[in-house]
Amino acid sequence: MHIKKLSFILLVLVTIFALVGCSGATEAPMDQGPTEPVTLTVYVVDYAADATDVWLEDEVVPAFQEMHPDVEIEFVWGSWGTFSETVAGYFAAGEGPDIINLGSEFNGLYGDQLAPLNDRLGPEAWPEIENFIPGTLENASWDGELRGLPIFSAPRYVFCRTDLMEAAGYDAQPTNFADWVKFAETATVIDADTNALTQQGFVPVDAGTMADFQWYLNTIWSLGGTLYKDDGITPNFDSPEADAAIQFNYDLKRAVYPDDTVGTLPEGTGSVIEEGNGAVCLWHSGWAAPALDSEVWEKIDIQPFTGDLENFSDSRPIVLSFVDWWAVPAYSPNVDMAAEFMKFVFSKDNNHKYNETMNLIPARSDAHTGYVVENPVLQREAELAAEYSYGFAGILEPTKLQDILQRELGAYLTDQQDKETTLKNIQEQYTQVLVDAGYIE
Amino acid sequence: MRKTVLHITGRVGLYILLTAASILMAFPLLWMLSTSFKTLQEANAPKIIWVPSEISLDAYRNILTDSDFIIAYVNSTFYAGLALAGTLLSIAAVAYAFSRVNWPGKNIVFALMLSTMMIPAQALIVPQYVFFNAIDWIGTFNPLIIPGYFAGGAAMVFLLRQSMIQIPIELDESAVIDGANHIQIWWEIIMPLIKAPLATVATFLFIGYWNNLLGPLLYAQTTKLYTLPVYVAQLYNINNATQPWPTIMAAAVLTTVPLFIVFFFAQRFILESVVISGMKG
Amino acid sequence: MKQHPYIYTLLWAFGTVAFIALSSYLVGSLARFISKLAGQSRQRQENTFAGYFFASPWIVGFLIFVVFPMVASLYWSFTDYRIGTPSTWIGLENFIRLLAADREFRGSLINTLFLTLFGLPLQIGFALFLAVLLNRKLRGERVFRMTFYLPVILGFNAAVLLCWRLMLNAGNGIIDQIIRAASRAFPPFGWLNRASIYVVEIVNGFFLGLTNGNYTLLNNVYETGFPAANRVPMWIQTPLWTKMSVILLMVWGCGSMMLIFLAGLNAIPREILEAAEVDGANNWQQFRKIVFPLVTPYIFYNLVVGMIATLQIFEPIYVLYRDNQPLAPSAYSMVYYLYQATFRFNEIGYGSAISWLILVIIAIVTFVQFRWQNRWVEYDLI
Repeated sequence: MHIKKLSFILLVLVTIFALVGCSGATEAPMDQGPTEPVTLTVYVVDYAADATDVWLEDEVVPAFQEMHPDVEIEFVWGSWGTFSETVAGYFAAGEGPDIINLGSEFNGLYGDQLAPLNDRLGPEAWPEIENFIPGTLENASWDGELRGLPIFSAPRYVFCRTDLMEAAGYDAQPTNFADWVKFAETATVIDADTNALTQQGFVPVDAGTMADFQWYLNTIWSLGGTLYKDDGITPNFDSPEADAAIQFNYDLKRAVYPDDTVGTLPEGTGSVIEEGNGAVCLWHSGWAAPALDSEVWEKIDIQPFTGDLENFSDSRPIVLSFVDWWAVPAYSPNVDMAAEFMKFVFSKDNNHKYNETMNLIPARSDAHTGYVVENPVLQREAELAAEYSYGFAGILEPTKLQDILQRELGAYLTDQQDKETTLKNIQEQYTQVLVDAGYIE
Repeated sequence: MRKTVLHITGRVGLYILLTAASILMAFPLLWMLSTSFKTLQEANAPKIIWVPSEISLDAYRNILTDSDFIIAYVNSTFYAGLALAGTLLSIAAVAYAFSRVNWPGKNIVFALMLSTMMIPAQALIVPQYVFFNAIDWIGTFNPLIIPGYFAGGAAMVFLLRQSMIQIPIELDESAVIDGANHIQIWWEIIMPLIKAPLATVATFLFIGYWNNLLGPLLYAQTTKLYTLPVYVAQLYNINNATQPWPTIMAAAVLTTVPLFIVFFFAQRFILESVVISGMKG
Repeated sequence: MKQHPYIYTLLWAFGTVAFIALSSYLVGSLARFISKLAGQSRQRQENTFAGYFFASPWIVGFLIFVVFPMVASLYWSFTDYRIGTPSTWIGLENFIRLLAADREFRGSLINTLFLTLFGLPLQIGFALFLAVLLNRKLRGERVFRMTFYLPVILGFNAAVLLCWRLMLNAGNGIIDQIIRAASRAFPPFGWLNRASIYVVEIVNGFFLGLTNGNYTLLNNVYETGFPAANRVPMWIQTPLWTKMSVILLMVWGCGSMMLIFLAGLNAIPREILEAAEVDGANNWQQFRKIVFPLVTPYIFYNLVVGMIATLQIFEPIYVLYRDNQPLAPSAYSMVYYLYQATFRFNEIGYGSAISWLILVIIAIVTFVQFRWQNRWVEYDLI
């Protein structure tokens, strides 16, 4: 009896595949035109499903094909969840899409495997390149060559709730390390009953561990520190800035969590600084901030992170700027056409529309019109980006550094090791990575 | 009299204990079901909400209108079904060789096959990845399906062989006298007699393929080839301001429904065969 | 063709079936030819053909998908092969770096050891407990058995693992909420909870100390003293608890072990237990004096099979800690680290070296298994 049922189910399943397979065959256009057309394959991260993808497929491609009727554009929709595995596969195979959507951190990983584009998209070949925010182009370049074009600028700002700050006795954001620590302690509330946070003074990306390599690098850079010594390749994690920054990361965490028995904020609905969710200040990008139509924006103050001018004279306000960008892998046989398509997608109007589907700040400053200036939040963000942008770029072996930093910061911030060991480990391991990769002899 | 009372209280105690254990074991699944009917606010509520006061179908509406989910469902069905068909057939053939035929080298090959059981699948992923890359299989379902066609799964071959070996050899002998060849004996005599073990093996294979996360993660390059586990895993994203828990759980419920159905129909065989083969499901 | 993935793979599937049929025929014919050369009887020749014909799907697949990749990976483990760059022979350097310098690999070894030392006994103990409960020939026993086995079927699906992630949240996760409520309502439970927390944190602090070569964390736990009344487990929030979440999942998925114990319990002759009952032995005495010694072979068996499974654990760690990098190192398993080295850093050579080291470790465990199995078979004969 059971067998019959099972084999019946099996049969049904097999029939379904056969049908699905066949219907796929009839739907898809199988014929190839007499002239061999160029097919560009584009790997795009689907940021806003049913918005970005629809716009690209239904508007951009037909418009582009009016100018280039013999070019087919095919999109491969990816997601960050499987990005590393997928893209590693393309480069390993030396075969894959002609254009790949990358994040900031990948310029150091794949930079030398991307086609140099100065003679196609440089200022002489394409004057419009002058319209991009300079910091964003830094992210799309490697080894002195432009390797692609930035889509948007997604800087990290400090968002603070003015109402909660006032309740804690502050009318403005602190501007040095010591004040930030004091502020975080004052503004944090721990519920004695559950031994968990009900209000968190400061959230740097990850509310739970408060260990985050971007936050750490941001604090180093805000002090005027650098990741490399003057030769540009020797790691600089034995510098006073690296030391002060990591100490600040630790102190800030202990200001919020006196020890690791304190539970995190309850998981709320929407951004952590949204009404009722408990965070007072958040260092993060617009992704993690409340939705643009939220009423809470009236009570949110947006600032760059200021560093610690009292102790480090090179301190300066920065907003750490991340960009996602399109690049052409060196293996592509269609570099010229890929560059043409990119010029089209990154035109003033298209760059504007592309970002409008995601509500982000276009990388082209001449595209800062319409929704960007009409919305006070985006306008403020765009202003800060233009003034204080600090590119998250030029990092050698970025995924490895990320891994070392996350592990070591995690160990230090959970008291698994002390500060000296942590900094020594980072310095040693990162040096070793650069030796293995051939940067350092 | 006293003994019966003791006996009855003992029984009741046992039932209470077993029920408690069952609730404990099934709790994550019940919680999954309950969460899938909540609104986002209820899912993240600071107080426990056992069952939502009002059943919300929003999560199911969200997930069922997401074309990527539907694609992942079709992909999973295609992948698990096609892989299952080929694997089952080839396993049955190989099990026949190891149980009904005497041939030189049989014991050595059999021992070799059993020894592959201790190779962790993950130890082979690197070279296999490079190999599949070399033959241009990345970004297709092939690496997930085709290897199974070569009798993938030594434990399953072992399980079927144990069942085949118990069929009296006289059946084959009389068939040979009637002029049947080995293929006829295998397909017409042996296969109909091992339907139950075949169903068991089919169930295990199906579960294995349906749950496979690492394979599709590596080989499905685009969202169009995602299977359910990959699709569901990437719904949770630490960069989201809020995790869409009800939606994730609705996807989880729909993902596990086929497993429930298969398990329900095949549980009798499974529960017995695990003991025969002494292996993990 | 790849634009139509279903058709593409269907065609490949049909092609594979044809290929297998053809190669089986060739392998069978070759074997028959050799058998003929060896001057064997006609019957024997036919059997040789049939045997190799039917077995060759496995033989051919073994060569293509196991032997060939393993030889390649053995070669790469002695090179610095990295995606995108040509490889050079570097001898034993990968293995030396792995064993002597790689803190993360050492950490993953210690984590795996931890899971084997603490997770496995808990898993086996709970499986035995369930099996003993079920072995009473009760009405509805099958339903309970199904429920206990269900996690094995569903448990390693990414979807269900995500549900655990929701439940393990320390703030408003359901598990800690229940623990809080139970501690408040029933003080002895609260004491038990706090004592367990103390033990768990001390033990984990010690093992993290081993990994880091620094015992500050253990010292912190010690100095804080007995956990305060409002403490709950910090499942996926602190390094002291990350491995405990994995253990929780292991214990939850103990269904297979339970079934094996049930088989063992069924094999115990009823008369022995009845005789003991007549002699006035109570349940506990029966269990300790009769049942337990008779199921030890099954415990050994589960221990060894479970050990191999624990050495290969991947999915729970992937789903629980993939994107929580600061905490992940405190929970990495060896296989997770292998995955990380290969697919995050693209280091094929180094990844191959890790693969082979894991293989050797598993081979050693399996060797031990064979020794234990011998004992097991003997026990069974008594």
